[in-house]
Amino acid sequence: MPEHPLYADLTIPPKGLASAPESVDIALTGRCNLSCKYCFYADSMTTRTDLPTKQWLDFFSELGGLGVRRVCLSGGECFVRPDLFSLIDGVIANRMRYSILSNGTLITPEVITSFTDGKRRLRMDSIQVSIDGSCAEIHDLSRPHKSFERAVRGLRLLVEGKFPVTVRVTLNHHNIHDLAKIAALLIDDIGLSGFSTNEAEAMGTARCSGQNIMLTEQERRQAMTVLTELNVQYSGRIGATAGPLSMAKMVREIEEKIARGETGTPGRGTLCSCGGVFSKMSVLHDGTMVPCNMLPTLTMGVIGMHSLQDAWLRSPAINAVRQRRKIPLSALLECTGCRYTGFCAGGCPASVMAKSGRLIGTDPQSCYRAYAGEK
Amino acid sequence: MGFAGDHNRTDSTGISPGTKITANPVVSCRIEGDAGAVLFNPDTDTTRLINPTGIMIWDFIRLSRTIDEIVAYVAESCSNSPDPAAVRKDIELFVADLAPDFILEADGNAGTPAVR
Repeated sequence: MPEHPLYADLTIPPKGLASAPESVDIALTGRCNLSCKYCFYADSMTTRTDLPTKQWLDFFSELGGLGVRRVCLSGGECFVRPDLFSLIDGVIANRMRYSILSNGTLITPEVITSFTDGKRRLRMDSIQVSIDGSCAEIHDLSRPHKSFERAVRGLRLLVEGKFPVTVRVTLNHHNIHDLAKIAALLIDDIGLSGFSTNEAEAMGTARCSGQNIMLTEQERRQAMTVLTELNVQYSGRIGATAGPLSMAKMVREIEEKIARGETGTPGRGTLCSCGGVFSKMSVLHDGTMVPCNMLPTLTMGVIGMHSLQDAWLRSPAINAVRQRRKIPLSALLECTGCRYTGFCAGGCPASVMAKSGRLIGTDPQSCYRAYAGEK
Repeated sequence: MGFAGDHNRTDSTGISPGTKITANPVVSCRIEGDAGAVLFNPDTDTTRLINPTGIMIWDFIRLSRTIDEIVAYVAESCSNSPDPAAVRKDIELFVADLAPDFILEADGNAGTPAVR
């Protein structure tokens, strides 16, 4: 059969794919001390159970043997695991580096001290804390009561300890008018070098609380403008790989190219927006291997039962995501007649899956034609 | 030639003939088919590409070895090995290029350069 992206043999890895992922995102637990209104992982948290310490340590040994270089530890909230530092030491013993995603509320002076043992600091790439407002009144609208106070305490401890700390601000209906104050808090007051942004997606709890938390189209456009201006004010210290600031950058680039008479961007024009599946994959807290933790239904196998390397190379679930980039946007019904397909990459596959229930399609929030108000 | 895939060094560095060297035990080595391998030092967050001959040497120095022992091993293992002097020079360059992040003196502390 001739090679065709829609009929490809998905058990064959793409040419040039590395023998193992460079990094693996690992949800160590489905437990969390908070219950946030836009948690994308909430569905998985309620339907899966945590693995015990030994199974994670065995898995880290497998990763080390394959030459995986780094892991990103998250949850749930990974600091609820009493064995967290044993697991971090397992990562270190297997010749890897690590980063942590946290809500920050369980970071105490004792936790800071625990990081001083062995190579725990040396091997840490970053520790990210989520901050969603400049004050408790706003932050705690999308998170439980008193979250702000504890998260900022944890953040300040990390900054004082000179940890490689980063902050993620998830834009939502409650903090959209607070962006300037958030930037002032994080950069001017706390002293961070910068922070990153994204937006609440229609997954997990946000899917249930719906319009109470997600941005409206008008709010998204407002955020694009405000964040772009703030980023100029703060000399490019606000980052984004998704969400309004990322969209604003994409819109600006497309409009500049159109003004120059260009009809596309090299490497665009297919469903190529996510390159993550060519260098990393994810493992959920029950050991299920998936291409991305925002694509929890695309099962590649289960750790301890299936070889990670085999899943990485030959799983149809991840190869289907990789194969998307061979599909031209011009072949998709929703892109029929669009004169901007040459600039477009189709948006995040997980967002597409969450909104449409299918992998092959585009994310309306990443669509320039929709942004421009054209039919 | 040379065994490290991404170095541009052309100078030879003096290495004491009696110095034993060893692969840094914290370094991981990921084989990538026929292309060679990627060495990764997680302490320094550095990577280095090595070619298939480099992989052969890397495996050999998991136990401590002198340069003379490595030269003899490569000469014996390669059916078309070039002039021993050229092999020695390449091995010295290989070691110099990978020290101190990837190769250590066998009896030295972690981080001690193998090259003087």
